[in-house]
Amino acid sequence: MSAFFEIKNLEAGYGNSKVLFDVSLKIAEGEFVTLMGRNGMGKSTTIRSIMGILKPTAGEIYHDGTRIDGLASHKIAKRGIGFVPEGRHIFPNLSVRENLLMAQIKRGSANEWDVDSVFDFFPRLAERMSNGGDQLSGGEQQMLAIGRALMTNPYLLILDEATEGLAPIIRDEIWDQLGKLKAMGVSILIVDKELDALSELADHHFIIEKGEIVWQGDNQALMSNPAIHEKFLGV
Amino acid sequence: MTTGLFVEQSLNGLQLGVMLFLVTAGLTLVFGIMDFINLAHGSLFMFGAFLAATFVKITGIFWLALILAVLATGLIGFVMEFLVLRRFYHRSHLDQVLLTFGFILVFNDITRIIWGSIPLPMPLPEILSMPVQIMPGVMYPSFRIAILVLGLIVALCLFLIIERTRLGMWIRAGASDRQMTSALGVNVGLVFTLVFAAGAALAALAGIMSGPISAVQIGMGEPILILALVVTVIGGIGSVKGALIAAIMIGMVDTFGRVMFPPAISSILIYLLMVLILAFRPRGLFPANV
Repeated sequence: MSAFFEIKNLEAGYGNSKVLFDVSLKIAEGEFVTLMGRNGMGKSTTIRSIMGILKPTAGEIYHDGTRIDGLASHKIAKRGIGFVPEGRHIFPNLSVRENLLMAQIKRGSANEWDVDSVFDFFPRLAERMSNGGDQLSGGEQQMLAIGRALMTNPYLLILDEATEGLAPIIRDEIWDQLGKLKAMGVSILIVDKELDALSELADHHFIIEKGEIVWQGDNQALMSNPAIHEKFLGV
Repeated sequence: MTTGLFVEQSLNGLQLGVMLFLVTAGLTLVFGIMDFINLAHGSLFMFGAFLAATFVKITGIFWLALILAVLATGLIGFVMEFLVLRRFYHRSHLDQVLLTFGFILVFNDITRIIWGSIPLPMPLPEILSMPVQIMPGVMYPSFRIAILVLGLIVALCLFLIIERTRLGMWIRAGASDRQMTSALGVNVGLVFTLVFAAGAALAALAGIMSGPISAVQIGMGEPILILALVVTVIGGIGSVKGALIAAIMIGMVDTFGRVMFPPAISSILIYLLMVLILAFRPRGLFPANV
């Protein structure tokens, strides 16, 4: 499969503190890809750089053959990169319905996401549609964050710590829905620590250590190599 | 207090509240979305009043002058934001305060150069110059009723735009979390420019509304700025709904305070109200960021 999203030798940091030294990864259309690593290794910094929240100091990011590093955040989202951030960042002063509606980007193709289809996808949100964003449980907030990103009708969905701090039953629900998204052909880049769930869904894994991609491989290669889990993931 | 006086003062309080809301709406959104403190907001209030007084003189039609002055001040706000302010979004609050304080001085001096130091009269259309009877034995200036109605209509429109439209959702989302709003495809910079220009236009409208009551003069924006900052803080930074409720509260407390208490007490009542509210709700009544 050819890459429709690619990062080449990305470097980034905060002020004088460099966090990413050499990050390169590729995602093919429809692929489910993970970015794993211990805390503080540069996962979120990579995501923030992709989304234009942090300006990379070197390297290149391509989407569909067009260079997107250095673009403003809203332009990156408009290109079709949906973002589910760590900590969810639900708008507390907007209702559930408004949180979804504000993010809607129509791309003129059939079967686009809208408020009704997101409510069908996460029926729990439909029950809460008039509630404020600050009146939701952690699980509901995560569903809303994913639903909101889907409203942008993304070609690539990026999730940072998708299931962190959620009850096991909610986590299972989120994994099930992510599986359905994969089946629908949405490309996904996910940062998470749940190796078991990821191994069932992912096509390819990248492991980041001290700001560099130190290992990459398919699911079978990762699961048959416990030494990697211990060395880079602390499992 | 007689019923007549109570009704009259209630209308005065409501009118002050609506005018304060128009001034504060732009200020609180600019503060909420871009974390930018604009002390020059009061200058736009003043400039609007001066422009309206001039346009009335030129055209002789009050309502046309009002529309022209509101549009012109909105344009000034747009230019100000586009050319200067946006370079200061990422600077400290101290830098922003110094910059916009500088704007106050510049606006005051430009006003002095163009219009001189003597207060301008704001001539009213004849229909609004006569008092009307609002209840038996109680006369009330028709101009005050007209601006109260106009202010309420504008406040209602603004409220509907903020609460019911997609642009309103973007504005509220931007006030809550600018970065996330941008990462969902919203051009927050453009939204902010529009908000700033609209805020300037609303400040001008409020200035024009208060012109016939308090005279159009240099420095008329500073006292209103202080009140607007109090409204912003009480209502919750970035919240238009909070600004509306806080503005009406301040309008009522200030107006009735002046009638019921000696000046030494009435002048501090609104600040006491602010202290009381912040003691129980440190982030104001309806903070945009939770």
